[in-house]
Amino acid sequence: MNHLFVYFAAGGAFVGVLLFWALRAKSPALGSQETPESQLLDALEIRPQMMAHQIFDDRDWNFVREAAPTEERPLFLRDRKRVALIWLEEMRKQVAEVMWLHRQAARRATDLSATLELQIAANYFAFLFCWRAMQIGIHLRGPFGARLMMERLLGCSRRLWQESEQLLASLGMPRRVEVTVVEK
Amino acid sequence: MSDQVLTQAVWWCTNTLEAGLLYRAARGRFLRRYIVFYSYLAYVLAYSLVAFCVYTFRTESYSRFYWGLQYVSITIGYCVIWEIYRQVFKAYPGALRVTRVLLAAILVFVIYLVVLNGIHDPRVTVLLHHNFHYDLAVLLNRAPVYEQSLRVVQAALLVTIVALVAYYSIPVGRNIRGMILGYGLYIGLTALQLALGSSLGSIWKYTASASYMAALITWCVTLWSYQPNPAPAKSSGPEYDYQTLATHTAKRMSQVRSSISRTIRP
Repeated sequence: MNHLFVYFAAGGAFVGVLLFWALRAKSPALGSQETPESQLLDALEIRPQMMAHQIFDDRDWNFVREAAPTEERPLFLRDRKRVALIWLEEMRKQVAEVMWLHRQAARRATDLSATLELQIAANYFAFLFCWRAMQIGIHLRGPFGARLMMERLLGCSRRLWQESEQLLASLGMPRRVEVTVVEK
Repeated sequence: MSDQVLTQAVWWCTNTLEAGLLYRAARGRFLRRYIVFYSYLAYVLAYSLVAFCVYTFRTESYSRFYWGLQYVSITIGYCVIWEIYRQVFKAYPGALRVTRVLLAAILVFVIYLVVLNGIHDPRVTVLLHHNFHYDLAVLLNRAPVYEQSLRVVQAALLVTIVALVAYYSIPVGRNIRGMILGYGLYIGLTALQLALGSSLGSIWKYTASASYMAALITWCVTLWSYQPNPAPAKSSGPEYDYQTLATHTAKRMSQVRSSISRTIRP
């Protein structure tokens, strides 16, 4: 009986996905507009961040707990939560824009490397997963409570990243994209 | 009696729809545009008509004829997927390369499973001992399993193509969208029907026809006139290499990642 249910669910999901895609995909979507390549590299810039670390810094919360009246604590938490979610959404939009521009250019690149492309895609989906987890964490536990959970998640994603690098290296596919980020 | 009438009616309806599709494509002068797809339709129509003749005039040979060609019929359905693949990624060499790698990976995995299954399946050993002698009983027994496996592989290939179309935002015209939806409905419902099989009772024998009818109706609606995929706009400005693009993208993703890290651990 279980295998019948699995087949039924899989078949239903397959047909559902196709119907959803066919009905949703209309004639030329936004993605079909080509961006001149000369503008692309300039556009692949992440905009300057606001003081993001202050959003999640619990010193403000400690101060409010100690110095502010009790009735103001939920107001503070609510506002800080809203700011955190706005910041998170801003991050997602920036990454989505970067990836959209990348996909627009990569789909027509004649010298595309499939391995590298799949790696970039995997990183993007890993980011989306972390982003969603962070969003849920902030909704459930607020920006300060979600922090510990996010530390663990970041550690996990870092390990996954390193393991994928090692796997590619073991398959004889050198990592051709060397990236250094200067820590401020 | 009513069962036979219904079966005949469905059978003639599907043949009429197939003939209508081929006629419409020839009349609209776009048959050559989707030559692989229409070759598949022509094969299915010819096979149906020949099968009818065999059934009518040589009933005793019909089982052998049907099951002998059933394996070919199932396999030739890959033509539709090939046509979709060919048309969708024609103008997008980068996306084509990624698709080729993923589809090849799926096929290699399937071949690996088939070989592994063959090594451990005693019935394959028996078949080898008989030097692949054409055995109707064996074919009858294995055909539904073979068809189900092939349909699952077709579904995996189609989902991969659709996922990459969505990922790269490749614009797809009405014709190809119809091909994808129609054939997807057919293989999805057929795989379900083969999996559920006897659990469906008497409905079982009509599900296959109904699923193919659904596909044909979808194709009639979407392939009534020639509506190809929109051509990509010609880009202006100098071209640059993929390595530069990928480096920039990876750099930006790393910046975001480290930005989040700094936020969590100031």
